[in-house]
Amino acid sequence: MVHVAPESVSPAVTDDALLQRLRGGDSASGEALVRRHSPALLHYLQRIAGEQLAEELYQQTWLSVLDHIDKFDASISGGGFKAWLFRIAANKANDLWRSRGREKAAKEGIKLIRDEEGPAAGHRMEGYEQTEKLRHAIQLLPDTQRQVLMLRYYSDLKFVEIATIVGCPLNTALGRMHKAMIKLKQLMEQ
Amino acid sequence: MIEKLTDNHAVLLLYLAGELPEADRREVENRLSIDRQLAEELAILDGMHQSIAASMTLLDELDANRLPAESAIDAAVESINSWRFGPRPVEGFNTPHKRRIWSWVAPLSLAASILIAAIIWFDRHPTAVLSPEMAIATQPAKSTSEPATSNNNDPETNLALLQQSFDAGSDEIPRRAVRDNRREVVARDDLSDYLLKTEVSPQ
Repeated sequence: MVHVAPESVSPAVTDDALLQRLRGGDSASGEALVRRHSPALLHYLQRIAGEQLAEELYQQTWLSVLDHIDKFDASISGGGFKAWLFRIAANKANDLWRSRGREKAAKEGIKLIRDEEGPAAGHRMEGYEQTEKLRHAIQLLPDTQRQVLMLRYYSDLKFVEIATIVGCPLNTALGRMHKAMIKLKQLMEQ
Repeated sequence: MIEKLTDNHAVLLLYLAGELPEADRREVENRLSIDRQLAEELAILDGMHQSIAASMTLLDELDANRLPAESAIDAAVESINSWRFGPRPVEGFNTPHKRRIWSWVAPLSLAASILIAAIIWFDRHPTAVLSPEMAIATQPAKSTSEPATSNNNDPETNLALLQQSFDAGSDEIPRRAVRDNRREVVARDDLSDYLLKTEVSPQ
């Protein structure tokens, strides 16, 4: 088994190839997978669960990947490793909401976001206000709509794959996406 | 694919995403060329999508320093390295399996301790839950000379047994005599009264 440093892993090396190497004990391939998908994964979890919960869910997601790595089969699981990763993350978020209560978790998320408000240096106020409006608008979306919207923007998964992850028909997932976009537009125009 | 979709917006979203099969994509383009309203809906949808995408990019830049991405990534990498050598997570992570083990061991230990204590206590205090009759009946005979018992139900015989026991100075009342004549436990001090009061029906 050839072990390569994660920084030298070419983007052309597929997720499946890295996964196979990781199964063979090549931790550098695992690190490459982590670094490749972490930005999108962290942002996704941040948007749906808030920053403090995002990191907890992030770690749980990767631990779950390691626990079930031998069971994952890209040929059976639609969407490949990335879809599987985000499916695990979405399930972890749902589990967290169930255990802590969706309402409480949403309040925690909104409270954390509001506590962290404050213009960063160098940002124009106009752009800052718009992004803050967007931040609040995202939190005000219904969970089902927010899930689909965030999966679409951060995972780059196809709508068919997103529908599989959230467990609804394709038509339903598209409907939630459309409603989320309209609601965001309305909230940002207020 | 589009025949399964129930409204135009669903079709247009897939068209904008480039996820329609080739045949469906051509059909949508044909419809767009002749349906002005559909074309306007597409333009509105595209505008919303572009606006939200741009705002999301700005939001991510704003949040770039808020999320401890590097430390989170390093921790995830560490867990992979640890996993390689064993299935245990690194220290400091949530260890739900560990918590699950201790969640039932403690109550089980407490229950076992209570049970053992109860067994020891009841062994030392066997009469604590027994009725007075049973308490007397289960006590070992203190007298070395056991009063004679008889299968005879003759009250006179039983009375004689009681007298015998009284004379022997035993605090034990012959079980048979007590059972056959009276249901109450008779203490030694009251035995004399009992003997005086009990009447033996003549045969």
